[in-house]
Amino acid sequence: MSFKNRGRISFLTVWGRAGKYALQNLARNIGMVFITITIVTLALVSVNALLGLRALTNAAVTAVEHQVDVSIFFTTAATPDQIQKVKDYVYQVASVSNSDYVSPDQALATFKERHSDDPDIIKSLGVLDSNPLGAILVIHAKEATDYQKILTALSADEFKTIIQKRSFEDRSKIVRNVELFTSRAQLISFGLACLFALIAILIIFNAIRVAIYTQREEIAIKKLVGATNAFIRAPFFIEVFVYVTAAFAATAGLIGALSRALDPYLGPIFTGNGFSLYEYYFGSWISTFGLQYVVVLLLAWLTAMLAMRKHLRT
Amino acid sequence: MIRLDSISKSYPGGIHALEDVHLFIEAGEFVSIVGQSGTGKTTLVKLLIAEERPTRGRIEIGGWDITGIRDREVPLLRRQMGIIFQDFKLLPNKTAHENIAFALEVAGEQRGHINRAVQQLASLVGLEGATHRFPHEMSGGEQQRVAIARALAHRPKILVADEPTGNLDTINAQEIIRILKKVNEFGTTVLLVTHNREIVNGLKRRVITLDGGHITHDQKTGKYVI
Repeated sequence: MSFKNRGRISFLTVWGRAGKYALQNLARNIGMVFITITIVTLALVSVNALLGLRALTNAAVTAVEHQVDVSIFFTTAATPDQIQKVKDYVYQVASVSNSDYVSPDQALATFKERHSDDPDIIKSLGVLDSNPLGAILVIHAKEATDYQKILTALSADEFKTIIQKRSFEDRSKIVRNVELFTSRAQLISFGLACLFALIAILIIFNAIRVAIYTQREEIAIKKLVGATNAFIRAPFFIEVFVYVTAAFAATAGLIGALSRALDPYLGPIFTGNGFSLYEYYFGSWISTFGLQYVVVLLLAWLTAMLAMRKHLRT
Repeated sequence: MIRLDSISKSYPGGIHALEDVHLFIEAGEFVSIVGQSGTGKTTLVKLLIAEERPTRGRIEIGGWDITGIRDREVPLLRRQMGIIFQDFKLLPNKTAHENIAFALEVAGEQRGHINRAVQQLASLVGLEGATHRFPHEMSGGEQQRVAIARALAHRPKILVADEPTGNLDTINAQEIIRILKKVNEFGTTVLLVTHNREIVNGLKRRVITLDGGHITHDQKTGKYVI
């Protein structure tokens, strides 16, 4: 047989043996494996904690926005038709989440209840022949920016005779602050998430480079005894797969436990919009952990390939 | 078996490791290559195992011109040559059995054949009953015997031994040389690169002396002449 013509090794044999080497190597370097998985897990937990914080900020802002409303106090002369006209107009100019109509009788009953411990006010009401309070329309807008549109709309001349007072003026400052906070909080949390993601990528990149660097002599020895590059790379790819999968399993476990522990404390804060941190992470886990897993795994494989390249030169 | 025609190897900075080396080694020879440090012995080994390419000249091994061998062909060459080193170069996380088997696994041999071959090789180098041990659990002599068993796993036509006794005491060094002689008796061409005068003189085989990148002596039944 000529020196040159020796058979090549099959794909299945390469990967079958690579799997065996990878598992052997992981079992025999359990300390290094544990350290690498811990580093990758910490990086992933940091990024996911920040993503959770971002979701929490958004939920908090939404909750604050829901607390804001505008109340339109009508004069006693305003008829139900006129009030309906105002309501229709407001719905036209702004995106209204919902509105509550309070009739003059309901307004009076609420007023009496609120001042039940003040006999002077109750006595004064008794002196009057008729109900001095008009109807009230309470409007919740979908977006904080819509309150300004409502305010402008209600300034129209045709409504001046039937609208006695608007409560919005008192709250416009709060609304402006909420708007400002929303935009800045989203910007800051997005920036931090990007920064942490970059740090996590660098940590993972470095952890894999170190793991491969420690095995550079073994790579050289394998080359000396006739191993092909594919035969040398394959166990590393399997090991990286195990590292990333184990790190994600640990991350999901930690995040799951933390979010379950925090949810009971968050519930009372976000009554109404039903925000749950656990639901945020695991309600659509494919778009959170699934996407991250695929990106990190591909990145880790690419890192491993680049890190091995110089050690694989003949 | 091995032919070097006008081989030169230079490195950046004007270092000439080998200059115009002509060499022909026939199949079945036992050749010692001797010379002081920096005379080109290790460069010669690196060229033979295609770890480096010559600057000029032509290298042929077993009828295969490896002068411009492609990277992806290098594993095929190395699976047909046995190589042993002074520092053994064993895989530290594999047992002796796994180290020997690895050379056959990379060539795609079947599991049954590998197990039989490892047993035979362990027996040849006197390592029966010790193949379950890791390199760090073995003496230098035992590690070198594992390295020889691994180098012989492919039944190579050529065995290149680069200072195989450099890290061993006299008794172990003699044992390694005894094994190399036995391997040579089976028909394998052996190239022994060494500093050890006693070993070379005791062999009474062909000796090639390198000095300053040139072959200064080539004796059929030679002695260490430096």
